[in-house]
Amino acid sequence: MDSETALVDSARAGDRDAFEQLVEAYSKPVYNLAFRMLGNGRDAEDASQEAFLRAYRALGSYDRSRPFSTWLLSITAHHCIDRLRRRKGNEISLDGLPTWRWVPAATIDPERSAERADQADRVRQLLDDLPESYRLVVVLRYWHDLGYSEIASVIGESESAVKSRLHRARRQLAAALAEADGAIDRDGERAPVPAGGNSQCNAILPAS
Amino acid sequence: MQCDIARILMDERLDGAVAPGLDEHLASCRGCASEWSKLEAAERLLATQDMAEPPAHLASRVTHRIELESRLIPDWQRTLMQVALIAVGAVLLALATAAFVHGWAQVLRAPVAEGQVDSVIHGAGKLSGLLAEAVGPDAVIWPLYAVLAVALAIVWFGALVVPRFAPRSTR
Repeated sequence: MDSETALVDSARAGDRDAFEQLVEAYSKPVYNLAFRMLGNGRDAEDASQEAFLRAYRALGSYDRSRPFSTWLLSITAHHCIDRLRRRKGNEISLDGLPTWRWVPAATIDPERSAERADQADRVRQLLDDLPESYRLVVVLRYWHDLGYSEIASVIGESESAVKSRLHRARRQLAAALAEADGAIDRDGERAPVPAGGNSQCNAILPAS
Repeated sequence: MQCDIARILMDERLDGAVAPGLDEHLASCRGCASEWSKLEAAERLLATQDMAEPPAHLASRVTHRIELESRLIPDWQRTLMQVALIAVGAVLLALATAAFVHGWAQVLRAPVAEGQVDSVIHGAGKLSGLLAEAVGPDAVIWPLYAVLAVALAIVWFGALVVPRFAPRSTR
């Protein structure tokens, strides 16, 4: 029995310290999935906490034949999809909210950090424009490095459905990126970054 | 090679597999070459982004929430307890009311001697003394206890029912 299985068994038996170790071990993948799906750090943190709590409550029904990571990511993915649907239902105008600009940390090369911020914004924008089901397979494939069968297990679909979604998602991403780059070439500058923060932010200040 | 096959091979190459014949097709098909170039650009952009780092306090916050949750009584148990307490309160109220009515009925039905009435009229005895002599000490105490029990039952019932239907805090 490996250490993870032992920890899961202990957690299932009510050992809270064991579950805490699992949270430590999986906080990064769970947070990353939530962050890429929801597009901002605050929602990602809330969703990660909720996903871990749901997992804790559902430990009794966890099937040991399934990898714990897949089970946990599945809970996180479903919770994120729920949040995105609720968000759509409660959509409000962002016109009245302040916009934010990224401020590079003093210790990092300003040019390099500005470039990284720009890339992060572009990735977030591209992901936001994808349908949720496409976004999920892209995140699981590119950031979590899961194979088709693992992604299928996380999202509860067939491998062929995953393959087809990823195929379409890649083309949609490529087309959106080419279109954005075309717009840059035509206008000589990048389209404005939408409000909502940045993953690489070292500080966030209201735009002056 | 047909373009449909080339597209499948593009995905396979993006997944790290070998795609035999794809390069030859791309060299001869402008449409597929353009598509491949856009796919590669998107691939390069995605590759610039590492896993997002969670806040340092994430694990401790989860642990704290689990700790808080473990102290709470589950909703179904709370509801069961409330229903049980309300039922007990209702039974108590019914019993107290019955005892009260029964006790006073006993007092009112008891025969009173003429001399005892005279002593009351002339202030020679108190009402309790009169009742005690007429119907015995138990019959006097009964209604007093019953009044107390009714009052307690009303307080019990109110304390259980009113908070249940009061608006909940949104916090």
